[in-house]
Amino acid sequence: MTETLIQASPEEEKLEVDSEPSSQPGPLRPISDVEDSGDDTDLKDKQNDRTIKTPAVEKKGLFEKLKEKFGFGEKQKVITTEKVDATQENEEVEKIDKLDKITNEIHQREEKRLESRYGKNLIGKASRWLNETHIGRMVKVGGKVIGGVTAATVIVPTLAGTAGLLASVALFSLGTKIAIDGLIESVQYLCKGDNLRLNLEAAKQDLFDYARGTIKSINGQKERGEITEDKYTDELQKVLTEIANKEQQVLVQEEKRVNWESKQKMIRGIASTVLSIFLTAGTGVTLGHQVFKGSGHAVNWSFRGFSFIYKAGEQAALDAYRLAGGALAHSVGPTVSSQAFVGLGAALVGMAAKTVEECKQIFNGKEITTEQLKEIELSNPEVIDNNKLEVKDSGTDQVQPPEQSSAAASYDNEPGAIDDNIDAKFAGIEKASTEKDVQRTINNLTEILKDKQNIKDFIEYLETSGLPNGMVNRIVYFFSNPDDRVSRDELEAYLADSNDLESLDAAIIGFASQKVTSHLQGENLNPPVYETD
Amino acid sequence: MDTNKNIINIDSIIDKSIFELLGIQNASQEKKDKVMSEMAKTVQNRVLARILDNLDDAGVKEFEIIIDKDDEEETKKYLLTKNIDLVKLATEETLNYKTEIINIFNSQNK
Repeated sequence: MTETLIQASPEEEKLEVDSEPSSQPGPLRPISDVEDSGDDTDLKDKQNDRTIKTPAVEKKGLFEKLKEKFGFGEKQKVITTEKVDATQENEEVEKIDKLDKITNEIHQREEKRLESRYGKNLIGKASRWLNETHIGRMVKVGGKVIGGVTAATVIVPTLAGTAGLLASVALFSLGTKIAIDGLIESVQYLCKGDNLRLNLEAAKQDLFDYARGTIKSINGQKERGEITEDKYTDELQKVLTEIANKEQQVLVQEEKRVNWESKQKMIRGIASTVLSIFLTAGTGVTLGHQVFKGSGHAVNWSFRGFSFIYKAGEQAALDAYRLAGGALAHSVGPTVSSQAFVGLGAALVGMAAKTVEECKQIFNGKEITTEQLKEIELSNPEVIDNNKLEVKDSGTDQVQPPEQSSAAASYDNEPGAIDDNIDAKFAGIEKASTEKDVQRTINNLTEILKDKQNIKDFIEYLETSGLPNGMVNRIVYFFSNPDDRVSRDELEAYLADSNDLESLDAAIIGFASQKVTSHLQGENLNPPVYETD
Repeated sequence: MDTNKNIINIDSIIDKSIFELLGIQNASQEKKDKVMSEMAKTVQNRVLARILDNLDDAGVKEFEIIIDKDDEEETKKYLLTKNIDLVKLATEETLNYKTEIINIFNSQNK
């Protein structure tokens, strides 16, 4: 199971597994592979023949119950009691000293550069602003990311109690999306963007140095009477011509950078949207009822997002794989099978492989190979280890419009199975939970899921609307589960006020941003304290 | 997996601490705090650079005047008008930096 992005509660951290602990996340599996042994303390994992033991804690929150019931979000954290031996200690001291040196050098160098660019006074003021105001402190979210807590996890724990569980999904996804966007950008940036930016900076610096140096020299000659007025004018003319040439070089570099960034932005948009879906699903949020309605549509829809990045032949290969895996046809319930994720992972790996083609070198001068980039493996060992899918150059330049949806068809093929599955899982949740707010949520969800004709119509409409993936994604998120993300009344008000999907989407973004901001206001944004053994 | 390779694992980079990723999670807290402080300052500087780079000369002056006023609402509105999303910037810069540090560190430890 992939590691969860949601912070483990103290109870979760006590989970123990009676098999060997693994540092690598296990393969994603259909939920049917995890069987509830009947009591609240043990889960039988049939595939790995092991029993996941949970302590008999006094009172369990809904998240834990969901986790036990469906097997997601297992953070099988084993607290080791092994003592670190002396050699290892020495190695770590040496390593952290080295890290200290690296980070210190980077800090000093960049601060100096920043101060020389904008002036010490402004940078000092702006730094104080960042440190002392609320809005500035948001930047310290960055500290949390360094510390290993994502923007998403900043959000999740702030939601009160289990009532916030489902509400957190949308925010969680948005937070993850932001993080992933940044990460993919970083990979792209480190590969090529950095070089382009450096080239641009170099061209600018060259221009600046030339202009400053040469003009100063000519002025000096004139002041000292070494050149006549006419000669001075001639020289100045030459300098201006040269400056114009150098400016042209800056513009060329700028244009290259802008073009490249524009293309990368498109790739990033596709990748991060889908990856955030992947992470959301893979880290414990069930796709079925919380994210994508709990029907085959949802998964098909996310796959369709990928159709943008596959050439026709590759799309066909993916379709064949999907059929072979039977992922969509048989396993879509409140969770998605591992085979479905392999498809998602393969698409991303393929895309990364394409990106790397453009990468000449990573910023430190080290050559980077396609093989290395394939290591962006989404924590899904099935993608890499089993070599189940051949990673292909996905040809992201050729963005193809999606073919007409097969979502409706697959929905029609398996409606009974999907609904039965969902109903069964919901029944399980309802039985397990005694909290009224959760009950209400589940009832609402069940009602929504039963309204399949509306779902089908809505998704079909979105699919044929030609709207950007991100927008469709957000609208599906919010409409799939009103009352917990946004009240039904509010949603209806947004709908009434919106003349088109763009404005509806803008309203949703506004709502989500407001939520994120309000949650951050109550957050302690200081860097986290690290666990030590 | 081959540990000599620069493995960029998306989940890990987001989810794990820099110390864990570099295999130095057991280093002293004092030292980790010091490094963390340097790193946070760098990220802060990079965010500042991104903000200022997004403004033209007049914008930089306006920004300076606004932060002098110490009015959070006005600052927030100003950044919004310039399409500057501080949280997004911070997250991006942090992830860039985290990835960069891992690469530098790993390349120096081969």
